[in-house]
Parts: sequence; structure tokens; C-alpha cells
Amino acid sequence: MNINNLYIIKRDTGVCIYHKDFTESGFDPQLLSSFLVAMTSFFDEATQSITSQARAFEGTDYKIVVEFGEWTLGAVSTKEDSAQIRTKLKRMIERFEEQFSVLRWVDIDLAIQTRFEQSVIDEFVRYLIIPDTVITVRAGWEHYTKKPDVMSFLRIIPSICSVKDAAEFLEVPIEVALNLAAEALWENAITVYNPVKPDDIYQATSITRPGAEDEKLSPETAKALSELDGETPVSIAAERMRTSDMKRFLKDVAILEKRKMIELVTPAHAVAVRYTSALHSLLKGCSKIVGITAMRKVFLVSREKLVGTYPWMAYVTLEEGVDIEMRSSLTAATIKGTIGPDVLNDGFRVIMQFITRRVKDLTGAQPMNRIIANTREEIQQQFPSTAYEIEWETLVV
Amino acid sequence: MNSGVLGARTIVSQSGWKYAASIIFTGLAILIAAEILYFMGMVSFLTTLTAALSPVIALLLGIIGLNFFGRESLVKEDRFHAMNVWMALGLLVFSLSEIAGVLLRITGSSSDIYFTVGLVQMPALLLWGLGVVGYLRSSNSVLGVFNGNKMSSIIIIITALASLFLVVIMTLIHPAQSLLITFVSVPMIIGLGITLCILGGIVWILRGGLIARPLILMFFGILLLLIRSLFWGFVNYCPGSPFDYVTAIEGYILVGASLAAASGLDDVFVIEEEEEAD
Repeated sequence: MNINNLYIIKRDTGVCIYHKDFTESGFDPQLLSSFLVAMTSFFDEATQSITSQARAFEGTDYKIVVEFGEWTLGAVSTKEDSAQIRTKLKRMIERFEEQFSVLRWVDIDLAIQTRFEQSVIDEFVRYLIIPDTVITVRAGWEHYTKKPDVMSFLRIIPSICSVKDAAEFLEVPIEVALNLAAEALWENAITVYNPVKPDDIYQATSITRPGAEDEKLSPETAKALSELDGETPVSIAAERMRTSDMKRFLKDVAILEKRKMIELVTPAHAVAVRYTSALHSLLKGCSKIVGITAMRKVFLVSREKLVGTYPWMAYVTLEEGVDIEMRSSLTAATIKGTIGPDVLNDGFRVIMQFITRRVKDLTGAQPMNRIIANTREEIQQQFPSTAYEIEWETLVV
Repeated sequence: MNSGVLGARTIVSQSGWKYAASIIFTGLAILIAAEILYFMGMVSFLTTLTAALSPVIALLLGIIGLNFFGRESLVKEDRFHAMNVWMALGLLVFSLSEIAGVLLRITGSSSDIYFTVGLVQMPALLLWGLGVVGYLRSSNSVLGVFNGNKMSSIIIIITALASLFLVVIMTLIHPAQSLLITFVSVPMIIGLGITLCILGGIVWILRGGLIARPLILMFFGILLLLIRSLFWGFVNYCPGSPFDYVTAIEGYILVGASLAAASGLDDVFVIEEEEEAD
């Protein structure tokens, strides 16, 4: 999620009351805020509609995503318009309106930039930092930050290390190191890089950079590119290529990512891929005992019950046997991020609960729990660092 | 929907059980009729009746079983489905063995009946064994009760040891009995016994679920056929008697009923969900 700028604008005056520039572009926020308020008002007038509101303005390689609060308007300049960005922006607006509600009626100095800083860090920066994130301390970092905590943090840690290593080095809990790294990133005192993980899912991009043809790929790296199809985790791609050196493979993937020939799929798509793998494994395990025909029926009956609550589930179907297929429209929505990962997570969890409870009636509780445990092991092998995001405990019967 | 408590009341479709129940009632009716005829002294009529019924019932139930399960390809990895197809095919071959027995009895070469019938039953038993072992392997691959290779070794060792043991026992009990008869009855008894043990194990593992019910019927069906084989091998019991045929008929009926009940599992659920969100 590449966010360049964040704006919070007072709707009735068009004044930008909070702004954060993540790119140090030096662009005047007031220029954009006036434009946004004018354009949104124009669209409302032009369409003669009370309910419709302009939601995004699109450039060639950026988008300005807009969300409306009660008396403010939030906007982010970003590369992609996804459900996740909108959710974060909405949360940001709600928090702002709650914290600075008095600004609706009067214009006073509430030191917004400083007081709202932590909320923005929590929403837009903190998620970028994970224990494996590699921190690179910038040369002359002392000029970027004056925060005592961050300064003492950066003074002690090596100039390049992972957050996990930094926590061990400082002998502090990992959470503390994660927060300090987020603050340092906010202050631009460090740059961060998330190394490729075995359960990351990458897809090929269609971006052709100028001069890219001059950079020859090694045969191994080119072969790795063909395996990253947006559906397959890196670990499985490595297995398919029968690579003996996982580190080398991860390095190849990192090269491809650096050259922007591949990109990480959206969180929604990652959730969908993870859950369809889990669902397929679960159905396959159950079908070995109760048969494929019965399992197909169990799946279809369960899905039927849930389509009312989760309409997108109608696009999750079965191919031959118990192979799960996501229809192209749902896949497109997950790739674009127009459907949130939470929604998918919730729906898939519930259908798996329905299935396990129904199969329990056929096989009894103990075999069903054994199948769940097997599925869990299989998914942990495929997605070692994200398998825990499936709530396995809720599936146990 | 949040992680609510899913209070699900499940009503399992009874269509398969309707067929199974009607087959079982037919079996009971035959049993009662046989008792009545026997105690009324109409043994020859009972023999003729059961000799005719035995192959007919095995044939009919085999066809019914194939009708339930034989419509879909065997190629797909569905061992439960495959087991039921093998059982149905096995019933068809058993019907052939019964027909062979009746024909031999009519032609009068009674000393060879046992040998011939036993020999024809072998392929049927092989089909049943294939089905049950395939299903055991499939279930075991998920449930991991045994190590895969270990399981095959255990079955082979037990079969070999039990066969040797049985040959010795039978020779000791009936020293005058033809070796041909011993060599036919031992594989039958061992085959049925092993199949029964495997099935018993599967039933035990799946005892909490509805799928255990057809498997229990199958278990008792095979048990009756094992009892029949044991009588043939140990009691020097004359094959072709009314008791022999009735035992076979009841065995086939239970296996057929299990196929009918298993077919109902496909109509798994008519469910009324009562969902309570936390």
C-alpha cells in the first residue's frame, strides 16, 4: 500500500486541517484541499444527487481516494484504490472527528499535527513493520528526528538489522521495538524493507520500465517469474521448481520485486488464496472418508445457507471433485482490493465451521478433529507465517 | 456473522434408510418363513426355496448396489464410493457361486460342490477385500491410525500366519478331509476374517458418525458369511442345506442393505440451522 499524502479537510470551508506528506514532495496541501472540496461539490451539484459523492480522482499513476466524515473529508494520494485503504481512511476520519470535535464549530489551534501523529502512525505506518522487517538507519539520521526514544533506539542498534534483532540487541519486548521502528520511519530516520517470506504470494506485473531490456535476468530468476502467478505462495513455487536452495530462490524473488516485475498481491487476495487452500485440503480430507459426492453436497448446502449473509460466496464453486474454484469476478475483486480481507476471512471461516459440523455428523467428532489437525499442518507448511490467521480453534467440533 | 455459536439441528435424509429398512424386513420375513417351514417339517420345500432365493437375492442386491454407486466413474479418488461398487460387484459374483452350487447339487456330484462353490466365491471375496482395504487405506491416510507401510505389512503377516495356523488346525480336526477342500476353505475363512477385522476397525474409528451405520450392516453381513464358511470348514456341515442357504441369504441381505443405507448418505442433509450470534 503506497500512500503518498494524507489530507483531512474541513468540508464547509475547504481548509486542510491536517496533512501528512510521506514523500517529502513539498506540495501545498491547501491547493489540493480547495480543489477537492470544489470538485466534490461540483459532482454533487452536477448529478443532482443527495446520496452520490465523488469517491476518487484518478491520474495516470496515482489516485486520490476520498472518504466523507460528518464534517470533514479525508483524502489519500495513493497508487491503488482498495477496500483496505478506504477502511483505514474512514477510521482515520472517525478518530479525527471524535478527537477534535470542537473544530467543527470554532477554528482554534489544537496542536493537531502533534496530537494526531500517533493515530496516523498506528494506521498508516505501524502495519509496515513486522519482526522480520529489515531496518536501514539513514546517514545523518540525527537531522531527521529529535524524539529522545527514537534517538536512543537508533544510536544503539546496528545500521542494518531486522526489528527482531534490534529487540534482542536492546533486550526489549518485540512490541516496543516495532513501535520505535514505526516512529523512526515516521520521522524518516530509517528506511525499511520487508524481505520475501515463504508464504508471500506474488503476481507478475505488466509494468515495463525504460531500460529494463538491458538488465538480463538469470535463467533461474526468469524461471521463478513463471511460477509466481498470484495464486501460489513462494514456498510452493520453490517446491514446483524443485529448488534445493530456498535462500537463493527468495533472493531471486526479491530481485524480481525490486525490478517491479512482480508485486505482492493485495491482503484480500492473500486471504482468499490461503482460505481456498485450507478449504480444499479440508474437503479432500473429509472426502477420503465420506466420499466425494457427499462432500460436494455438504459444501454446496453450506454455501447455500451462507449466500444470504455473504453474497460473494456464490462465486466460490467446486470444479471436478472437491477442487475449489473462485469465479473470475470474485478473483478480480480480491486482486483489486474492492472486497475487504476481513469480509473474506469472516465468510470463509463460517463456511468451514458449517462444513466441519456437518461432516462431524457423518464421521463423529474425533475423526473430524483429526482431519482439521491434518489440514492445519498442511496449511502451516504452505503458509508458515500466516497460517495462524485462520481461526483453527473455532473449527474444532 | 461473528464467531457465534452455531446451534445446528441436523435431520439426516432418510431415503437411503427407507431402502435399507425394506431390504432388512425382507430378510427377516425370509428368516421367519424358513423357521416356520423347518418346524412344519417341509425341509425339502425349504431347501428348494432357499436354493432358488440365495442366488436371486445376491444378484438383485448386487444390481441395486450397482444402480446406487455404479453410475459414476471409479477413476476418481473416492474410496467410499469405490468400496460400495466393489461390494455390489462382489454380490454379483457371489450369486454366480450360488448358481454353480445349485447346478452341481442338481447334477448330483455333491462331493465337489464345496470345492467348486468355494472356488467361484474367491473372486467375489477378492472384490470385497479390494473395496474394504482401499477404503481403509484412504481413511488411514487422513486419520493416520497406522503408518501406511506398517499397515500393509501387518495385514500380510497376519494373513500368512493365520492361514498356516488354520491349515494345521483343520488337518488335525479332520485328518481324512480332502486337501482340496482345506485349500479352498482356508483362504475363504481368512479372507472374510481379515475383511471383517478391518471393517470392525473402521466401524470403531467412525463409531460416532452416521457413516458407521451402513458399515455396521456390512460388518454383520460379512460375519454371517464367515460363520457359513466356518461351518463348511470345521463342522463338516453339508453345503446346500436350508440352514446354509438361509445364512447366505441373510448375509447378502445385510450387505445389500448397507449399500442402500450408504447411498442415502449422498442426500446428506436437510438441515435446519438455528444460529445464535454471541
